[in-house]
Amino acid sequence: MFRPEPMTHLLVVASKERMETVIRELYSHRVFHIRDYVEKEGEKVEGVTIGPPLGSASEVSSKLTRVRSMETTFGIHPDEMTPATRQRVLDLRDTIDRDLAAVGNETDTLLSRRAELEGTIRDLEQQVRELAPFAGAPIEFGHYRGYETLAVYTGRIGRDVEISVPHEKVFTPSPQGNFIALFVPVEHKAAVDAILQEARFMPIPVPRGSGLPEALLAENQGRLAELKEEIARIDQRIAALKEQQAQFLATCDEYLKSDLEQEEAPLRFATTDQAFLVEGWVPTREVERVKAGLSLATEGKALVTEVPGDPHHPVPAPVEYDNPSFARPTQLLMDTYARPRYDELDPTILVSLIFPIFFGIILGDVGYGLILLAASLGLRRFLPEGDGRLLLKVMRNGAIASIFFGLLFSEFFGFKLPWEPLLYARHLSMGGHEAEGGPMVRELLVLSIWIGILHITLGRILAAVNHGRHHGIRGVIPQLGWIASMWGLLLVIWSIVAIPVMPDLTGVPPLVAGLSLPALVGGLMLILGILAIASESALELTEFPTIISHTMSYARLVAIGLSSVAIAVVVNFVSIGMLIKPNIEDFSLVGILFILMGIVVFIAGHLLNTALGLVGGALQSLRLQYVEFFTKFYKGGGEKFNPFGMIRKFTED
Amino acid sequence: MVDAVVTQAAIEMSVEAVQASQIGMKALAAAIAIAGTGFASAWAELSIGSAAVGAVAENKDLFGSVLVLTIIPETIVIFGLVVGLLLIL
Amino acid sequence: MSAIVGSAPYIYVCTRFRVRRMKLIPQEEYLRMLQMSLPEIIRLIQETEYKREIDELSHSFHGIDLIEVALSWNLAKTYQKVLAIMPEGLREMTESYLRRWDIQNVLSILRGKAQGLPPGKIKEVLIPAGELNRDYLDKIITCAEPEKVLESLKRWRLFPVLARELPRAAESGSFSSLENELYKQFYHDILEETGAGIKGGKEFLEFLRLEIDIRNLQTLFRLRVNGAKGEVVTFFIPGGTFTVEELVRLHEVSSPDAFFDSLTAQLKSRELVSLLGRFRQKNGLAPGTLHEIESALTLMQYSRLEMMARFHPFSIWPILAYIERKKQEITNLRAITRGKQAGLPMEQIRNYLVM
Repeated sequence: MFRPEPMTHLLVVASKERMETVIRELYSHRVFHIRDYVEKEGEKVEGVTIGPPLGSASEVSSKLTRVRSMETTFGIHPDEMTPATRQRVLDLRDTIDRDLAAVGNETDTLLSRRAELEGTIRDLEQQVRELAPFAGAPIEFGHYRGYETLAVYTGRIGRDVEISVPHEKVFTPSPQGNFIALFVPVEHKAAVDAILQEARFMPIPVPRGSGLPEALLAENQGRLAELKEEIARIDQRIAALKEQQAQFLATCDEYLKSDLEQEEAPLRFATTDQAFLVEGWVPTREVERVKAGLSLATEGKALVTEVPGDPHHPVPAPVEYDNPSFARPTQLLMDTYARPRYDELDPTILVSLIFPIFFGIILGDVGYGLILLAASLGLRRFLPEGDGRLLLKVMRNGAIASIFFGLLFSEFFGFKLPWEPLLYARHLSMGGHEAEGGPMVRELLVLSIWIGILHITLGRILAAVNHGRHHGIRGVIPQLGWIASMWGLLLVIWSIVAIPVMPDLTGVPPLVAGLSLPALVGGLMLILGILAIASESALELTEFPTIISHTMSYARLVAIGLSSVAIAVVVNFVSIGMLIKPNIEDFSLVGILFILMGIVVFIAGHLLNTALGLVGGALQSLRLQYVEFFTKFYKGGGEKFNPFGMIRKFTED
Repeated sequence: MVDAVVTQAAIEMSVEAVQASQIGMKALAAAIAIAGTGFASAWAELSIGSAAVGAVAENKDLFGSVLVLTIIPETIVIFGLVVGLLLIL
Repeated sequence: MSAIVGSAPYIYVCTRFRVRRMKLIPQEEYLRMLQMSLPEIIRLIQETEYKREIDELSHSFHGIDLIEVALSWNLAKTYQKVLAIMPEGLREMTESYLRRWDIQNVLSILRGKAQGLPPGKIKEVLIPAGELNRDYLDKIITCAEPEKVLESLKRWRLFPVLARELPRAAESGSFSSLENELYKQFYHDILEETGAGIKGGKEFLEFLRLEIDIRNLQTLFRLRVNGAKGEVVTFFIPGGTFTVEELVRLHEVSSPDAFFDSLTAQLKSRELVSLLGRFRQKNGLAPGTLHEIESALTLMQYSRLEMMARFHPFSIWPILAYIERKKQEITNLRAITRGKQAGLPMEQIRNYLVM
């Protein structure tokens, strides 16, 4: 709680012959986070390089590339699959080469055949396009060619033409453009050219080939249909292959990947001619187990050292959360901002409590809360294990908070429940019913400001702890300064004006120079606070206005909530007040239509408002955590703990 | 006598008129507060939104962070809403 | 309204390229690749932005061919996508800038034909990112005789230069002067277009000058190191901050000390001066360091580009920075894979990487 999983910095050194053994051992534990050795300019050590991969990396890589490209061809996504059975690695090792080659060859053959067919189809379609204009003219293609004394014209033409010279003409009208084929003696060419040009003649070259156009066209089209059928058969075969091989390919992917991660691990090690060194982090509670395992595997020939932390140059450790189970879904919200660093407080648990509360205050309505609760429970089944489910859990917590605050606010789809609000009322009246005095906006706003003051103070306290740990008391002082300034300012304000829901100190008798004790204390706190803040850096004072702006920002808790209530009230007014109620009182056949319309408006309106409330409530609540809360104390940017090893889904030893 | 009654009525009328116009002015002020801050938020979100969509188009993992960034300027309109609510309620 | 939302497309596009630039292969990854075999490198880039190409092509290509084709396809695709999402104004500028690939493609075809490579092999190295698209280039490749090649390039805007220079190149068997002339014309055209008061043109012009300068300096060093004598004026590209006469004069300075002195005296960029100072100390005019100087100059161009991209985050700079970086990524990957294929030692391949 508040701290990530403790990590121990380990160095493993051994001679190169032991490299493979060490790799396999570390991989099987899946607790060692390798810190990659990087050759940097300047800090390069002579004779030390990153290591070359183990022997079969190359071969495994080729297979993996092939498996992955087949997965893409077939549209297989191993992440989304949940296998029924697991395959034993030993069995797989014996058969993978043969089976993979078989699937691969078939796939390659199918794909290349398909590419070939597609090429042929393109050519044929081009030919059909060229043939099409000639289809209406019953002339064999051979007859268009090979004349010395005749000029041949073929092409589209605007209208039929009268030719005054001796000629042979075929004219076929067509909506796509009339076709003309014209044979005239060469000596009359010039005259015919002129006539044709006037009729907007567009020549089309005669396609190659012989025979009648109709026949050729039919033949080509028959051929096209055949080819397309074959493509369809290939696609069917590919689909069938996908069905048959999806599990196999996903299993190969996992097996090969795990193999390759081990084969390529030396790329992350520092090596010399004789030895290698691997550096990394292990959760402290696992250290002994790893040490024992390595010692057993290498017969004690691997040197494992714990590196003591250097307080001046701390090597950042990877971060694995360590939270109670109810707070775990909230880790998702933390990662969205940034994972905590190893050396700072992990506020996940606070966020996991405060986020739903803020959400509930914004969307405090029993009806909406119930809808969201039902949705979060109902959708679980349709989402795979992972981030989606975690998000649903976060939503569920929010929904419960929503119901709780709905009971307090006495709200149900914008209606009042049979009791008076236990907190301040948010009910809006509409349509001339001057009901119970309307919402208590002032009180609600001040309440939200109170929440802000407390939330920000908490943030500053956490900052004091964080800074205190690194810089001692010098780090704590500015943070205390921030707290003192804020509360000092509050004291001063309280002694000047009376604000509902806040202490009224205006009545305290003046002590010195017309100033009361609280005002004096407040002023003193403010001044000392400012000095304390400036003790770190005077520039920090430019942030001073955020004391007010960040606190005011919490007004969104009420403002967004009231807009949500307003929409609910409008929906109710339109659907019930204007459509349903008058028509029930004054019943008629047309009225039924209006009543139905009213029901539709009611359902659609409230669903829309639920969606708006969900998005608005979640984002605004999140923003208060990220912007107003985290900026006070939280840096983030920790590296995710990513142990060397694999969680296997398709294979087992 | 009649004059006095008429004057009295006129005064009452004008007091009512002033009250009514005060309510109207308040409503108008609230409207201006919300409209102005609304435009301001929109303008700020224009740039953030364009950048956000651009970033997500290249890297879907950024969606969460970007979503939160997009609502940062909403504070402005919320201040407007608060001022508006305080004015009319 | 358009005045208010006018900046939105720039912000959108520039943010996209910033995010994209983070997805480029980082330095330590290259160092790891040096240790890997070709199949491992293929598998590695299959997990990055090259996934689609590798997936699609691995059914019909293998080994080095697979990488070569995948890299070309990817670069062409990337550049086409760059153009597709670009707002008006920026797109025209980028399009003119990408026309340089036409030159490279045409030269690859001519060289390939001169060496008698099969069309398939030539096709692998073409990057259809300019005006001459893939189909058009494919058609040129199928032409057997040089005259046919020339004939089919009639529509190209640099055709006059090609027609003028090709016979001489064919005669001498070297295409380098043709290449020079084409680039000269390319820069001439693009400078002229950009000069005509396009929005954002000022920045673009600045970039082009920088590029011409870097190119000229690289030529200058190459000429010096190779000890070229005689007519050198044709090798330099006019339009940069150095005039061609200045460059020729620099070339004619005989002693290395005097050369460095007069070069640094004319340089305005402090980075360049310190860079040259470093090489001078290392006695940098030995043939072996030529490549080092060239990489250093290229790197300087990048750092300059990136600096400008930081100063003007929503302008053409981030886009140019991305385009150049991406090109370098492809060049580096080619260097590694070709080096691996040829069995070169790691250190030697490493010298060819610009990172």
